[in-house]
Amino acid sequence: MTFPISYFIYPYFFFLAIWAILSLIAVFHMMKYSFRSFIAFFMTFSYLAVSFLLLMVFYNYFSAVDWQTNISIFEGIFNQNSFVI
Amino acid sequence: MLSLNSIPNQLPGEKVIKVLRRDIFNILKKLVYFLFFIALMVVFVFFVNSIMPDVTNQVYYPVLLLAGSVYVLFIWLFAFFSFIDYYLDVWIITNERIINIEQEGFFSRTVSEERLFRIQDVTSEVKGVFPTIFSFGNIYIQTAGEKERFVFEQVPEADSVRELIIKLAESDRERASGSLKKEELGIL
Repeated sequence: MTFPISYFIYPYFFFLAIWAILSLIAVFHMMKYSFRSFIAFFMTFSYLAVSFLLLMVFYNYFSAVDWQTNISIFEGIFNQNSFVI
Repeated sequence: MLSLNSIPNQLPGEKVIKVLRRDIFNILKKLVYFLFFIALMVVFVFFVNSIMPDVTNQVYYPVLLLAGSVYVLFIWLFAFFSFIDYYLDVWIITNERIINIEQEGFFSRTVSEERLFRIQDVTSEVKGVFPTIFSFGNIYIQTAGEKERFVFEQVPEADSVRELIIKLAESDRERASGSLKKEELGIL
C-alpha cells in the first residue's frame, strides 16, 4: 500500500485540535476561577507563550519536510515467496 | 478572575487573614514526573540519532516528528493541568469564616464556608518524612454546620494554622456571645 506522507497530517491535526480545545478550557478556568495575582497571570502567560513557541519550532521542522514523498507499507507481505519454507 | 478584596458572599467588616494552598512541595513532586517524561524523549532522540545518524533522510522521519510534536504538546498541557489543579484549590481564613474552594477536575467546583463560631474542633496532622521535614500537613476542622468536616490538605505550617483557627474561633464565639448578652440586656 503506497500513499503520501501527508496523510499522517490528518490525525496530527485531530490531536492538535484536541490539544487546542483542552488548552482553551484550561486557560478559561484560570481566567474565571483563579484569584488575581502575579503568579496566576505569569503561569497562564507562560503556558501560552511556550505553547506558541513549541508550535513555531515544530512548524519550522515540518516546513522542511517533503510531504509528497510516498511511503509504502505492507509491500510484498502477500508475495508468494514469503510462504516458501 | 476573582479578587481577594471581594471574596464570595463577603460579610460587612470581613477581612482575609490567611490564604492557603497545598505546600509547594506537592507541585515540585509533579514537576519531577514531567521532567522525567521530557528526559525520556531526549534519551529517545539521542538513541535514534546514534543508531541512525541519517534519520532525517529516512522516509518515516516526518512521522517521528509528528509523534514527537504531539508528545511534547500534551506533556506541556498536562503540566499546566497539574498547576491548575494545585492553584485553584484554595482555603481562605477570614475574621468571620473559613472558606473551602476545591476544583475537582474541570467543570466541577465546590465552595463551602462555615462561620468561625461554629467550629468545634481543629486537628492538624503531619505524617511522613517529607511533610515532617517541610512542615506541611492536613488540618481537620469539625463544625456544627451542615458540612461537618472541612479538610485543609497538605497546607504549609499546619500546626500554626491550627492554632490560628482555634484562636479566631474562640474570639468569634466570645464576640457572638457578647452581642447576644447585649441584645438580652436591651430586651430587659
